[in-house]
Amino acid sequence: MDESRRVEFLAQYKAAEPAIRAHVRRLVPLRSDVDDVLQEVAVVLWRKFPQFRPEEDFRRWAFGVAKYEVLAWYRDRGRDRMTLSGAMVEILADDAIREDSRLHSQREFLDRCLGKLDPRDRQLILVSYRPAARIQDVAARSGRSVGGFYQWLHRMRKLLLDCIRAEMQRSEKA
Amino acid sequence: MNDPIPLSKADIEVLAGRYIDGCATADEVARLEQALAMDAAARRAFLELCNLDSALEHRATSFSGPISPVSVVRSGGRRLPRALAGVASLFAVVAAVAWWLSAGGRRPHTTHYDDRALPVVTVATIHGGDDVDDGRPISPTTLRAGASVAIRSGSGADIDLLDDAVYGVSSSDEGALFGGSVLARLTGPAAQYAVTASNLRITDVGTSFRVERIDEEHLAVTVLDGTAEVQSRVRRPRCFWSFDDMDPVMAPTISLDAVRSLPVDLGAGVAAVEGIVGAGALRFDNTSEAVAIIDGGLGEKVGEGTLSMREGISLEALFVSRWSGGAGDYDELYRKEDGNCRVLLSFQNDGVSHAAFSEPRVPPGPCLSFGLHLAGIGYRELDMPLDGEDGRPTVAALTDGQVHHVVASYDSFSGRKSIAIDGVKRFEHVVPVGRLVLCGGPQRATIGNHLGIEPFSGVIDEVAIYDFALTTEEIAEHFRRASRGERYFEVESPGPFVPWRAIDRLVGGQTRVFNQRTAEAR
Repeated sequence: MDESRRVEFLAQYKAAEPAIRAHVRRLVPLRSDVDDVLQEVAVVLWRKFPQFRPEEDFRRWAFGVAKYEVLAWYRDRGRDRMTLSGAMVEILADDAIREDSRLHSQREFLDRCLGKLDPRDRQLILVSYRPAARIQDVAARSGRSVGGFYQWLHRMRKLLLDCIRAEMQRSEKA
Repeated sequence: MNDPIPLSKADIEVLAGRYIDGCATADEVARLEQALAMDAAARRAFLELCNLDSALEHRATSFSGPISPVSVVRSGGRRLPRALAGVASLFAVVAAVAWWLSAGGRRPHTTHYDDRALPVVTVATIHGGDDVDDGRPISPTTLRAGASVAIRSGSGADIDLLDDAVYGVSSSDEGALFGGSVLARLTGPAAQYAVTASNLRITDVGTSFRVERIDEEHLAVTVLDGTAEVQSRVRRPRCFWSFDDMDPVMAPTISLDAVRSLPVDLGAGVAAVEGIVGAGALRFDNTSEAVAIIDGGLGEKVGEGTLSMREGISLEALFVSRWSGGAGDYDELYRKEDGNCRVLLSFQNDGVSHAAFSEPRVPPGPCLSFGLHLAGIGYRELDMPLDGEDGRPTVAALTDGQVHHVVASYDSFSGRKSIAIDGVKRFEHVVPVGRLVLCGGPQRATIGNHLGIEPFSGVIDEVAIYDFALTTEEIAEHFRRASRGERYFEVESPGPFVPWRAIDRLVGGQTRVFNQRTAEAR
């Protein structure tokens, strides 16, 4: 691959990476597995980039590649875990591609809804989502058991989802 | 076969939540799959939740600085092809620059301060106060007493506070005299009690004694009945990790404290390297696993355990820092987080924001922070700006690849809270005399990180924790010795240090005056 194509790949990948990560993340249950899948996706995108035509939508093309890498991950490593079947993941991947625009919009409202949470809850939820965070530690520091912390997390996510849905409706009406 | 019962939206959300948290059982996964297969709306709800999860993850990550989307080494240890590794590196640079530009260098740091007020140990009860106070249990605190106030210590001594005493009730068997005088009487053969004042401690081995503060430096000790022993402080650390004991075969990830054998467990991001002083030191690689956890010294409540200090504290270390100094980047040297009764020493930069606990207030920017909770004041941080002004070092000076020596100390007898670098005091704040430190408790202390999100980058060696403030002379001497490759202090004998040494013994009817700093009799 010549230098100009390499630069083009970097530019395209940089622009699409958050969306690719989000797409993979929707399909791979555990955060800790996402980096593995993403790395495979990046490798395959790099290898296949000579086949990518400039008139194509890089993001959609990358989503297609990512879907097969996710399925490969399920086939190779997902079977020894409590995961959905490959067939279901394929359906979800297709749904996710169709719903991408709406899901992308949802993400835009996250900050606004996070801002409505109590600052301590906001801080705690973000700490729990840090890449290095151990839920056991975060739970202990919040004064909850691990089980209790997951219940709290579930409530927070529900609050945020309800808020995001309401904000989206308000925005659509406006 | 019966058709499966459709799940409600709420049920699906619960199952989906358990699935993405990795908590779902096989049965729950099967039920979730069934629901998703039956219903497009369920799949939509599932995708929305996964989308939120991923957005939160992204949002949380964006606080911590540049993250390369293509990591060069994967968790399984396999490496990317060399060509792609080069691309990944280039990409990481591009991503880092993009992040920095988008953040404008001003993105706030999300650090986790545990602001809970954890239970604090009870050390005494008040007697002889007004009706409301009589019998009231008290935690470590400083009493500024009128004529009629007395306490009964947890160890069974009656303490009368006289002459407008200012008295720190620091533990169940000890107190600190800051002003006025106290009279201590043991109530039974099993009771014990000691009164301290800086380097001096008077411990009751008979029945009753009185200690009176004559001036800022001198105390008069009078034994009324029985015998009292006067002791001087052995100015040695309560804990000291030289990291010279690392055994690459038998114990490659454990180092023991030289005083009490408290182990430090090393995370995967810490490696034993050649010592700055002695055989070993620890290199921290700036990752979430860069942590040395002190596995012990805990108490059930705040104010208990080996790592609980009262009248003073000093944290001392040698380090070679590769801290970025950038906004949002925290590098921890030491931290113990027992709710809001925390102790920390760390490099911090909150960007344009003023640090929340800063006292005195200082301009925003990079600083070396010494955080401490003082009874009656609360948690405050002495944030020494790294600005090169008034003798303070700059970030560049502390990250120049050379070894530096740091001492952060607090002395309740003078109220001085200070930070010294390379043997010289660089920053100080004075609080009212007599404020006790509130720390210690159930949470494990760490060297080099906090919650995996504030990793140190560089080398740390010779970590010492004292239960008193080192003097300026001691700090200068420790720096001189360390610069010569020697330990901070001579080790007279192997094994635990004895914290107090008897210097005199008084019997009933005797009075003698002592200097609290030098522990010499006048």
